[in-house]
Amino acid sequence: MFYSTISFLLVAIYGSASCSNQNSSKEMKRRLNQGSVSSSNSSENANKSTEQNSILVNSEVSGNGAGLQVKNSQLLSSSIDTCLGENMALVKDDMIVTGVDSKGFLNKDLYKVNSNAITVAGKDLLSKETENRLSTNSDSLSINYLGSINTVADVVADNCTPANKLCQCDTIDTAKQMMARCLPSISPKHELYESVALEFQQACLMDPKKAVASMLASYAFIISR
Amino acid sequence: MDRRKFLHQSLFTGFAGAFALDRLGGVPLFSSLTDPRILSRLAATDAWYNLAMVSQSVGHFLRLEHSMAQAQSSQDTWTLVTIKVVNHVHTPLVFKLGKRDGNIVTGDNPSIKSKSGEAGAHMELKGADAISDIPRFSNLRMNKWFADILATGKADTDILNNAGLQLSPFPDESKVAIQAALSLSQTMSNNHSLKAFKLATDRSELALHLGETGVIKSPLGIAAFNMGGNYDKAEGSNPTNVILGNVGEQPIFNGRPVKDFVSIVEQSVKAKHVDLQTDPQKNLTLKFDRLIQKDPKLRMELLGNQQKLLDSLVSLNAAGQLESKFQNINVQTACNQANTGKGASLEFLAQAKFVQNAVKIPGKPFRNFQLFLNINDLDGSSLDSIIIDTQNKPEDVIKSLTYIEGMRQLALSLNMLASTIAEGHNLIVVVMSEGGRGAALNDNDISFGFVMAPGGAGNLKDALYANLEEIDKRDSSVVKDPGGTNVTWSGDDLRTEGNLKSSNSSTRLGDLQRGVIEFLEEKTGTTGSRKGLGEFVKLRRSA
Repeated sequence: MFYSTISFLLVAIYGSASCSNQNSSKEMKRRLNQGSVSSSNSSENANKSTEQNSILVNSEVSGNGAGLQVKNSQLLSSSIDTCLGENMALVKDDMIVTGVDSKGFLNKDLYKVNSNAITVAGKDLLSKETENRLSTNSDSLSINYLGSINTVADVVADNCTPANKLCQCDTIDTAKQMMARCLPSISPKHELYESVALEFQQACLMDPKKAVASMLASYAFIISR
Repeated sequence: MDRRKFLHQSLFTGFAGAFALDRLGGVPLFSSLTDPRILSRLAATDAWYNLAMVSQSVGHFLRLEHSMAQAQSSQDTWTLVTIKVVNHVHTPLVFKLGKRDGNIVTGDNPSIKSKSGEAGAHMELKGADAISDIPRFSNLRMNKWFADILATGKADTDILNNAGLQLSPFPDESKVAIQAALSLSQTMSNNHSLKAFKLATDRSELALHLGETGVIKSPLGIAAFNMGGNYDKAEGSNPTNVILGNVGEQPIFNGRPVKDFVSIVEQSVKAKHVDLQTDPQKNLTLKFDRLIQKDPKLRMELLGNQQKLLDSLVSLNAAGQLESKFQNINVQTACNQANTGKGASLEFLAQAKFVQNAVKIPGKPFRNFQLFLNINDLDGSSLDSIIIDTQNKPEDVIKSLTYIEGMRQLALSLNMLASTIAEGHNLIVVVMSEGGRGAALNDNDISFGFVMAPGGAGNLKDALYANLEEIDKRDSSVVKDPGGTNVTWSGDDLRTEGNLKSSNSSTRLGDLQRGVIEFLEEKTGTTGSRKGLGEFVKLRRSA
């Protein structure tokens, strides 16, 4: 329920300030820190918030996703902070390919330890300096964007450890909580929501990093508003 | 700023920035690869580094594939394979020169048997001191030992024949032509330096030149290999294989072991965690996508292409595995390699196998290969020697093959590549060395070379470029010491830049390479890439 409330607030903030997603995320976190967002909502409040959430969300999502803008690198960064915690896009040494038998997946010439994967991959995301949107909506996503999102998703998921409660998704509740946190624009009333949540939870049981990375690489995550 | 840095820097400038840099002379990004203007420029860069770029984004592979399809649709789908042999070559180990009377050739020169140390008896038995009894190869003056390996694809050592190599009888001349060039002088006078492979003093190597001029359009650039650690560079600046540009011995990029290419290819097509299953019913990312789009075509396209490339590229694994194989040591056959304590490795043949498999990848992402054959710097030692002189300390980083093993593997590699040509690939192979070895197996200047390409009408035919009169004498200087004797070729194969018969008394390695350029210009319909380069060898065509 806690996360449903967060989702509601996120969507509400996005809805009222569509051009300042990062600020809205920070605002949400600020309010969380100040205790202005309750973590013990009643069932009634939760239902109400979910209903409002779905209404708001459904007003944003069209049938084919057209018109939904994808995240630029700045929004992507703040969304990951909200979704899974801060510093999750930092590159660790074992992620970098060091030799033929290396288990890493990042090229050593491009990625350095403690660099931010979003910054490095940002060339194919949306430039935060210019806000130059190569991809304007989910219908015209670029191949480069999808490819770079895969890399970012791999890094973030690799940083997910059992110690991080925000990375937990192996029960249906934790799976839904993560979806609510990470995919705030998706209404829980979406016809596929329950089935996707179940499959997400099943995937988390088998390979949580793969499940998290796959979710982060999806259209559902990379749209904003 | 070198190309590598430039490419790296341009990565962070984005799409528009890449074009800006392109105008400034920088190397473009994969993100701009779909622009046809870019392809020819990328063709001259390091394939390994380009793969490293691709590995950062599966999306880059889609763009790459688009560019490959674009290049494939044009007629210019020729592939270049240059084979650089160091340290020098010894003509009598491959060719039998001297007065010919039927299948008997007599010349006043030391026998291969006498120069092969413990492998002498074996080399004599296998015909290294006799001319080939295969008419086609005896016309090229090959000795029986080398020609038999080339013709049959069967080495004179047992283990090698069971190494999983794709070897077969050498194709007919109508399918594959092979031309031999003797008495090639150094383009630049030096002893064991890679600059000897350049087209001219102020020009780059052939592979780079053909990439830069757009004659060979390789979407991934040049796949340049290295083997045997260091070579005994003596007067050279670079201890391993590098691709040289216009300026001196300044390297443009490094050759690498096959395993490095296989590793980066694998890295390029495999994500770490994100679900890349192509089955829509199983792919988790696709299921999340459908919360937004019922039919995410772009995702499906990405997954489909990813799998297609993965299927193709994993075939290169076989080459990588081959590289680490060693034969059993056998001093009687000179199957030996310096500083390994083992028999000869299959590193060089792994390069040939990489070529065989890579040219079969749909779209031909690799069309420009440089193979590197590292054989021992004899400095007067016998042809089976693995003794390392002290030119290049520490000596133990030099893992060169014996001269005999080197030529054995050269014959096998030509057999492998010939079968690839016979399968219908427009492949031209150029074998060259930085110098020749004298009669006393000392360092000297005069080498030989090979050109191999499709045969038949309009393509090449077998040819021997040499002073045919002098090599048919018992006691001519070229017969006595082909590695130290400069003689004028018979005929009019050496031409001026304007295609007139040259009056030059010697033919240089660069002339032969420029002949390859002239042939490829004709085949690809390009012009201008020989301008200012001077003389060339008019490679003989089949009518």
